[in-house]
Amino acid sequence: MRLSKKTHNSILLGVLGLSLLIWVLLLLNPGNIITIEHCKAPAMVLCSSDVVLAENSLQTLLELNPISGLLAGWGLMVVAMMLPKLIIPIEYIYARSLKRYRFRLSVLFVLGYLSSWMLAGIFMTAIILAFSYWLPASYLPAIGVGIIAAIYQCSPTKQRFLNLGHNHWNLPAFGFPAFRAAYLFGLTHGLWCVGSGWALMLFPMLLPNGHTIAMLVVTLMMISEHLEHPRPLRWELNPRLRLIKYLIAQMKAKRMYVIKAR
Amino acid sequence: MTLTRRNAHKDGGTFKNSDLLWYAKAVGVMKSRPVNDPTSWWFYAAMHGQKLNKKQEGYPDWTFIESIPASANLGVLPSATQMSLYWDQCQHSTGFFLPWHRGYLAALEYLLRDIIINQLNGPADWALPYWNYFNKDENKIPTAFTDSTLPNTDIPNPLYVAERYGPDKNGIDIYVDLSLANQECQSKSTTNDYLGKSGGFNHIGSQLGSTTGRIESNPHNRGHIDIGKYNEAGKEGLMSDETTAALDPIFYIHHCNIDRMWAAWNTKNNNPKDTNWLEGPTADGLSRYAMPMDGAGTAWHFAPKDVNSTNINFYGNVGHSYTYDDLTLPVEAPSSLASRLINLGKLMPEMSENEPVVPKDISSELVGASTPLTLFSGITETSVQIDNTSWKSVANSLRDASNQNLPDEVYLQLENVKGIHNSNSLLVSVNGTFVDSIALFGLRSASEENSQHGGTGLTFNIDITHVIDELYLSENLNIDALKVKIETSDPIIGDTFEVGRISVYRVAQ
Ligand SMILES: [Cu+2]
Repeated sequence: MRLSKKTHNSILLGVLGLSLLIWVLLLLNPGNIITIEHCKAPAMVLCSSDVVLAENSLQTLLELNPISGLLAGWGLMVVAMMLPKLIIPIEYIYARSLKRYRFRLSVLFVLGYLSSWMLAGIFMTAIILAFSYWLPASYLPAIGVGIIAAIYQCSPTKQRFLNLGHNHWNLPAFGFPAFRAAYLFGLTHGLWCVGSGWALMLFPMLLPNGHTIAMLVVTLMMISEHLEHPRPLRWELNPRLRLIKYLIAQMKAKRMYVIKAR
Repeated sequence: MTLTRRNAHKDGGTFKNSDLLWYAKAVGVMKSRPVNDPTSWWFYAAMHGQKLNKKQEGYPDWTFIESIPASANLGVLPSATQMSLYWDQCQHSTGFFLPWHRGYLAALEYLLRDIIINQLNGPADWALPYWNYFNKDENKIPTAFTDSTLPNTDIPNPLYVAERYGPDKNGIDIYVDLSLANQECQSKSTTNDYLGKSGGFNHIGSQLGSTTGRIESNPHNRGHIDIGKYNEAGKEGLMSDETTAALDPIFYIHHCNIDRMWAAWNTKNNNPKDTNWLEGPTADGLSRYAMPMDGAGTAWHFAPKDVNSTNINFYGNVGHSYTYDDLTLPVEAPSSLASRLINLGKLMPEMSENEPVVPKDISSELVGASTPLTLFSGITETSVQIDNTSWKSVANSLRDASNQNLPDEVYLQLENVKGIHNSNSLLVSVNGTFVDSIALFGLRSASEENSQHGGTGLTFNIDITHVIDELYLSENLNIDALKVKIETSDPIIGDTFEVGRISVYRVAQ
């Protein structure tokens, strides 16, 4: 069953708008509206490398980057990067739920999804902190994780998680079971997403420089790979570029349309 | 030269019909080649779908199929590049069903003609025949497909395969059961309805956005499972499963009829004009479809726009045009919105030239749903709970309906149906009224994890607007539930089917 164009557009606008807003906050932090400072978001732990180099102790590191702040930064990062990926499941929930529940169910789904990434965040921030303690401002951790990520990209395990991401639940329609199912759908969808994306996510965060660009690239990669059809499990080199091919094709189509209209 | 595809039942559907005789001989040549030759019968069948490099425990893994001879050399696969470019391409449950299969048939016809004309010195006007089961007394398979040998020889008949069991499951009477198969799609569809629709990124069959076209459900899916069916041991015929179907030579003759029906429909109706359909997979960020045109595996790449008519141009310069000796449409009254409004008492018959408005934006909304359901062989009954709040919108839309203010349509959706038994059907009734029969062709693959459908099963939509209209007219629209009865046409292989949810949707326009 199909959603109206209006509903479809408002989901698109809402989700992309929110994601964009958080990107802006994270990258520019205009007027310091968010209290976690730029360099204390976990991805940016190492960008204060001069400080870290000067006072290389775990205590200083933690003082500079309190756990709560790190996790909050992590959460924002996940929302900014992953929200656009949730458009398809949110539309699925909209299409298959009672109208008056749609919005609430989608929020619960997103919360469930974030729960999974926050859980993963505890481990990931620990890893990031550990590396910044042992190997401050070094490219070694990023290179190491980059290699692991590249191998993992080709693995059947990764494909398995990507395939699972296409599992769409049978949602109960009424009452409490509907709300519970939406949260749990989000939670499991998040788990499959962590399973397929942990290495890609870790890589830019370990980069002493250029993490912003790396982050954007990783976001595009992750959205793109989730758009691919499920595939049989095997080792293979698969760039999973569907998003890019799609954008090029749509742009070409628009241009053709404009030329024809003239 | 424009080729004419003719009726396979010409000359009684025997080998006296030279189209069938030459088809048999050329299929024999393709069958003699090994699977790693892109012009072999086995390679071409694998392009539709296969169980060869995707291992399966037992049947339908191709190594368990008796009618594949040792010369197919299944142990030596083509290169990985060729397999990933060409194999497992078939498009089902999307708006690309018709165009993909048209390109597939054209490429095969081109190869067969090359063999017939240049290798066997056959007739230059040979074209693929079609089997129109709707013609009077022609719903039985042409006998050229069931003879064990070619006429006046003891050469085994390349058109015969043993794994074809027929509606009576006896392996002898192979026919299309006209009590369930029909050609209503020819007169009662709108463009999207007829072709089905791709849902862009959601274009996996069972997910939102994409739908199965009417011609695909019936007669296409019906034809597949009637011909293939299954035997006493519970083994399905080749035609029953998309990963084995194209191994059976009747596959192309059945599809030729589906293509003929599309061409006939096009004499009165247009294909979609939007780029997303015309460009097909490319518009969705996927690769164009590819067919190997020679032994080296040279590809013809195409998109729906290249097979929008029956004048095809391979590579843009090798013309391949064809037509059919029969492009008639059945005479049936099209179901119209105006007649529905008249029936509802919302439009006076004498004013029926007041065309109802064309809806601008269609939106659907859930108005009722069941809990998950297991279907057993025979009859399963359940009630689908109606949500009172949203049901009011349906009631109001019927109450206030006019030709400016269109009433809701109501659909029953069987969501995420899973199982392994393709060659079965679900006969669905709502509140005692029979509404549709659904052929489950494609169910096994769609239920399989790590397949293109991601194991979500199949989802079916049934228009039940007329049932709701009756409730309205008899002033019984105030309901808390709909009674749904589902009967399987045959005992279920694997014992059960799972249905994720049975839902009721209103479509407001
Ligand atoms: Cu088919």
